[in-house]
Amino acid sequence: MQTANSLQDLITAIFSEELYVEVPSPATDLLQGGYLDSLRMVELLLRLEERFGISINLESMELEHFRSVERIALLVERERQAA
Amino acid sequence: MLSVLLIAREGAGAQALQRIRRAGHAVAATVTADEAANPVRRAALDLGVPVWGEEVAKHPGFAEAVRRIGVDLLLNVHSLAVLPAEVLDAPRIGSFNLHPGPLPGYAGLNAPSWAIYHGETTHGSTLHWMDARIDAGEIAYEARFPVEERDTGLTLSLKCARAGMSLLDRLLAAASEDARSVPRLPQDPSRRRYFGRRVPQEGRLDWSRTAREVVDFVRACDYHPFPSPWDAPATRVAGRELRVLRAARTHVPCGAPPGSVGRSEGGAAWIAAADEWVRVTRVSLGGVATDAAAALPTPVQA
Repeated sequence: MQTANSLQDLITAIFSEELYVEVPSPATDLLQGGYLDSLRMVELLLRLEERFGISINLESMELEHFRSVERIALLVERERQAA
Repeated sequence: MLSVLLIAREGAGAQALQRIRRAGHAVAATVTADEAANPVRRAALDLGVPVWGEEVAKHPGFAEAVRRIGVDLLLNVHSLAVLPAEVLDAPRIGSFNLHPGPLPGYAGLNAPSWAIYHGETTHGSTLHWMDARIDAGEIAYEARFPVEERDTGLTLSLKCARAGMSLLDRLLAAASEDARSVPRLPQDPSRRRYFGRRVPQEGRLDWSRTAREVVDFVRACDYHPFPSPWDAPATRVAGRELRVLRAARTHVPCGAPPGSVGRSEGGAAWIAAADEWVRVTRVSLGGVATDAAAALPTPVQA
């Protein structure tokens, strides 16, 4: 089973290797810090769906789900369990 | 290798910065808003590119500074900074603006939203030479793409940004090979439409319009989960003042008085437009987003 930390590591790696954004820590405020904008969020969603085999409905998303890598990891885990 | 001065905001600006660097060109500096949440500023800091505040463009010595540091191209991406003519003339090759709309028909602000509001089935992005007039310079490159029925202000803006990056690639390739090969197509001023800050219909839904017009207005305002430049359209239904966040056409003919609630089901409420029922799924009541059926539980007249 994937631990929460390893999921956060994977998401941080997606930011770094595929979105070219270096996120300092899992708790970093991605929105306030300018790490995540509308373009990057849609690209992130695509990569999360590809990487974790989930389907994320943009219509049901709130910005708070993407506030930090920690919160994105929680979102991914929730979607995986729902799938 | 070109030296590019990037004047930019928003995610498209951050993407442009990365694109320029990945193409092997230098970014002399980035001029952008001085805000922590600015993705352009974040991208510039990560890449070690100098960041200047937007007020620098108004400095009397700025044009000379642009010449002195050997800028080849000035690229403006989604920035509203007004640049003096001498700054636009300072780069060796020229100054270019990436506009999220076809020109001359959609000059000005919020072009993606206006396109959806007008029921357009195609839209575009334009990369044009800059002169003193807003969005009126000669066109270098343009792209067109379809507007789908489910597109919103956000998704169409993202399509514009993606298409814009391809136009940027073409400009960088042509400019680095032979600057004289960058096209210059004059715009037809008789076809120009300029859109300013005003919101259509003063931000209020008009149920006496067709269902298509009502839904197009809602889609044009939809940038969920990001803030909308127009906010969601307001309306008064069943005695309640609310904003419509999401709606879709039913294609079911309707003869009920416009604005009346037909039925509520599955979280949605059917509201009469001039010709068809409109299925409203999400609304904002008192600033709180909720299912339309919860906000309008019983079929009553408007």
